[in-house]
Amino acid sequence: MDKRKTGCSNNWKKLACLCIVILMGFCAVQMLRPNRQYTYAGDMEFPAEEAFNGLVAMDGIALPMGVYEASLEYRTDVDLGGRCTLQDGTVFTGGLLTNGEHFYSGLDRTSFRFWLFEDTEALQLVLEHEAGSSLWVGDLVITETDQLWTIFLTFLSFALFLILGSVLIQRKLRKGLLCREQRDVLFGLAVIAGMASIPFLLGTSVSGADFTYHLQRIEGVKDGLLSGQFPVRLEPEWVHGHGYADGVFYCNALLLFPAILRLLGFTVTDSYNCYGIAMNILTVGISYYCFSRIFKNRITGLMCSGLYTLSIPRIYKLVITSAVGEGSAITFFPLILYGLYRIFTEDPRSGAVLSDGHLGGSNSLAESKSLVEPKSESGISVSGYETTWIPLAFGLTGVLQTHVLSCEITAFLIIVICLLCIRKVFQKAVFWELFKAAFVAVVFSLWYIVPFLDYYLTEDMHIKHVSARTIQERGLYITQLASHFISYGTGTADLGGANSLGIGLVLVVVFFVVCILWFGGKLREKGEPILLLGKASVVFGGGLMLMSLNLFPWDWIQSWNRIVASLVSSIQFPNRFLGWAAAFLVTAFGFCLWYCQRNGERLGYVLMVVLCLAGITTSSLYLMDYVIKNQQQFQLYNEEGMGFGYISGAEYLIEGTNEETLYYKGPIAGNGVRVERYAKEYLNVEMTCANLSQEESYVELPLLHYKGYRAYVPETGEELTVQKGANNVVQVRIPATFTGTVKVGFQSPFYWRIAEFVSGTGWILMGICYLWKKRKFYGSEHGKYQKV
Amino acid sequence: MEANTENIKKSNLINRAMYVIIWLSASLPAFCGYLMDGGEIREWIARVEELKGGAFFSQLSPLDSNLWLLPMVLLCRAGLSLGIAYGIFVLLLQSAATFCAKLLFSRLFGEREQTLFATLFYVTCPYHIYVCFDLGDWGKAVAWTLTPLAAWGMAGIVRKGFGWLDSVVVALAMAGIGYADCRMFLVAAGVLFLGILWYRKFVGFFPLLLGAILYGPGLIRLIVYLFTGGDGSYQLSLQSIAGSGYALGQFFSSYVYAEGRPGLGLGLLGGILLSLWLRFARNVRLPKKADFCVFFAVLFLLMSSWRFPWDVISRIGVPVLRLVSLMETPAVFFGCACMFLSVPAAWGVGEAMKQESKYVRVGAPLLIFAASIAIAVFLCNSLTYIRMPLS
Repeated sequence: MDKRKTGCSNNWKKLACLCIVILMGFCAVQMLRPNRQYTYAGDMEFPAEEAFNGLVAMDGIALPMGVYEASLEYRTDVDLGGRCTLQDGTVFTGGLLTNGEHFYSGLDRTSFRFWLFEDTEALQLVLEHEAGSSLWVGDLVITETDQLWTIFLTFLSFALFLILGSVLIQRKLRKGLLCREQRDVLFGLAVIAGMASIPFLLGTSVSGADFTYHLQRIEGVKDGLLSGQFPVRLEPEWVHGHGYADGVFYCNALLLFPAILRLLGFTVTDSYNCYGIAMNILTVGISYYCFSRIFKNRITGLMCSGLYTLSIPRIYKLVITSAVGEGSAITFFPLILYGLYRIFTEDPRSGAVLSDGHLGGSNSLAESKSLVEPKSESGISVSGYETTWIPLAFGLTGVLQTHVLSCEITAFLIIVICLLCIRKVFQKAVFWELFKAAFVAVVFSLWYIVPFLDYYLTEDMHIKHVSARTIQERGLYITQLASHFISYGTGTADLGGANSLGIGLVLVVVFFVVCILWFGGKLREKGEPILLLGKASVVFGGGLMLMSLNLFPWDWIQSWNRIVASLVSSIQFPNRFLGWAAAFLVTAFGFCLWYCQRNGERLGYVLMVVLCLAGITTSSLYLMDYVIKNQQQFQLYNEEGMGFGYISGAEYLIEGTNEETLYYKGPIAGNGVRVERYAKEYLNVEMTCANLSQEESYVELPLLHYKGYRAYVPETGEELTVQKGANNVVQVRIPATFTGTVKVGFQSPFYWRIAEFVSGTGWILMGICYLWKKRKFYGSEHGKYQKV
Repeated sequence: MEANTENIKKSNLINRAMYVIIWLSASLPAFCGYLMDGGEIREWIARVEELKGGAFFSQLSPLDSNLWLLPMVLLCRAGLSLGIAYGIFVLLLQSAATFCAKLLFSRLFGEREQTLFATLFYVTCPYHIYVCFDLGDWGKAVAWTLTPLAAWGMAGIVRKGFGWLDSVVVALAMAGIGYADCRMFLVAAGVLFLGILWYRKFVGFFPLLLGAILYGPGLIRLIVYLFTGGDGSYQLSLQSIAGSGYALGQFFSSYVYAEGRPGLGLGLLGGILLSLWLRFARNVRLPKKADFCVFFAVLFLLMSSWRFPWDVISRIGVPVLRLVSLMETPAVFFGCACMFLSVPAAWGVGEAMKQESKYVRVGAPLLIFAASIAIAVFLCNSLTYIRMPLS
């Protein structure tokens, strides 16, 4: 009966897969069809004194379902003095998605996307206009794109992936390749990822302080890819088309994922939410991997993963403040912890571990045929000392390529750990593993480090002039640390400068439990590395909690010297230390479970489990419910709806640049220069100009001058000088009596390309090594090694 | 032998105590001694006055009757204040809801533990508490009480064939639901109709028809309104309800919720997760007879979603548009989904109590019971300090 049911279920899955493939084929065929264009004539003038809202300028526009680009011709003399959008009362709710676009004096056309999910004959062009600016509106050109079909293809691919994934899992279950515990863990991890992703499943985006900035970053990566940059260094549309060097200073590697979704046609909100969900899945996976291997217990790993992923600091960063970079960096902390633990506690003399054949007492087929690597008694894989650098390398790479400030804090912690373990650091094997980890992390990140250092050292960036801000007043009050029922949102005002968050009562209780065990003499046993880990976790966790308080003398530390002042100032908020504090205290929780299990303290174990569950359900979920209810939420479809001007603290502008004047504009010709033809696309300009004077002159372009811009004459290859003009824009020196076409564009310096090549080669070599090792392992006798 | 009897007595006592706790936790606002302002409470007070004046059908909500406000009127006439009368009314309502739910689930499950948990999930469901106290829609609260009764009767017919007791209960319960809230009558009638087709027990049409006849005056008003718009005195506006339903993340809220959209709550969510865990990790499948509940749970969840194309459905015709407008919000269907989700959730808890591991066998049901009660108490407490007494 079971076999028949399984067979029936498989038939349905095969049918579903077939339908999906057919639909994918249909979508592909639709993409081959030429894109249609619709033009609607218009010629409307609105005087400066006339203000209106919701004026229907064009009506009865008929379009089939699709994703389109709307290009409305216009002229205005004021920036942001008006707006145009589309509306349709005849399609179903959610059938038309767009935010429209603002009008700018320096542009003559809009170019915003809109999503139409139902055929219509009643689409309307709607205008808003403020008094004080003139407005003329011309033709509307609507161009179809392929994005409707790319969206469908993406959904169909995902559905196919889910079906194939479920078939694979079912097969593993039938063959008994997944033991009971593994199934429990898999289920548990899925639940944790789902719970953590609740704020990203609202159909809107929860908006925090940094929300717009990170959306701009995602859009910047998308536009950068469209402009031909890879990797994206200067976000081309940012600062109203002038370009912004965010990609150089704030690594955008992980933002490639939401940027690709945007390229496939997903809305801004959907792409951002998908990124949040992906980060949650990654955090759950990485934290489980690390904690289960540290404590050699899957259930401990699962609970630590839950506590860590749903920790208050992480929810605060990723959801409440939308600090996407910092929230993403928290994902990689467990890898660093695990890597350091392995390097400092494993025996360097061990080669590959001999599998003793005893696999936790289960007789299932899955466990008698081990998976990839030999297993310890608990069933968790272990491998030799020569691989201890790997988690640390990937952890460092992850942190470096997500959030520089977290990298600073991480570096500080690693230095402290190394100083405390200085004797071990100078052991050859340990030093070599540390070196390998650091080296590989640098190699993997060289593509980002070289441009960062290049600009930081050679350009006078604004970020170098912000050492004056103090941070101590932004520290937490001590009582906030153990906050359990934190309700964020309207009405829960910050406490005199401190942000309303803590580390959570559960982790504070864990801190005290381990302290009691330690000072009660229960952790005296020598030679057990996990005991050392438990003690270190509370020392570091406690220290980091202290550093997050307003009691900690940050102002005094900042007064030491300029370098320290700059470093302290760059931290901005002492609560940044709570990310690492959470990592250490979750490790302390795992230690408590390990201790209870080892000493047969069943009651203690149960209490810790209940504490974990209670913590998650009554604190984390409570906070998320409040965030969902009270925090502002936006639905953003196209980037034009949010504009291109917001650059937060303008840290990556050249010092002295007045950002308020950086609106869309055309070229500014110097004395004697006439610009006859001008075309700008992203960071590339092509113009035909003539210098009628006998002296060298210039043309200033609406591009912020960062190192890397080149100007050349395409016919002759002659390079023209590019320098900083007024307000640090690109100024191209036009020789006397010059006539011809000039192309200007950003080009990464050759040494940046070398760095990218080195990083790319490093990743490829890593992949090849991994595949080779895996093949070698499978080629041996069921993965068993002889002890060296 | 004596020890066994003692154990059984103790077990029965604990079981009864659990039901009392369930009833109490969902009735806390009744002990305030005053009416909480907010929601639709003022409308319902006005309708009590209408009934005092002899109006069987409400002028404020023309398609609903004031029948079930009779106990309130009688209590007020007996000299009790409105606040006390309300408290007694709510306690009676919640007692009846607990009793009816227990009746239904004991017929469906047969096992004591599963019946207890299904009743727990049903009575302490955040949507039920929302309807009773936050929204303050007494009509829907009565409908929540009578729906299990109608389902009990129909379950009996499905199992045993035609029976007079079952049929009369179905008919009376359906009529009662109709006189309480016409929307819930339509939903309940639709579900029972489909249930009859699903299980091919066509004798079930008889009590359904009887219920419709008993609800005749109300049903005629409803049909006249749907097809002709009534005589214009109804003043029911046509509105689109699309886009005002639940986002996926809102299904999972427990402590606070967006306007009119309470979530599943920790208890019900825990029960559902337990069922899913059993299916995935222990290969224990839901019985086939529960497929009906799962189907309607999923269907109602979809219908309560903000992405459900209600405006496309409204285009079928004006009667459908009126019908959809009458629902006022897709969130109504979430409540219906919760009713159905109680079954697989309770099944999951019951099966968990048969597992080998003591932590699962004892711990999981204990935690889920505690979570359900805690959330119900939390929600009721929140209301008592957010809502001012009605002046």
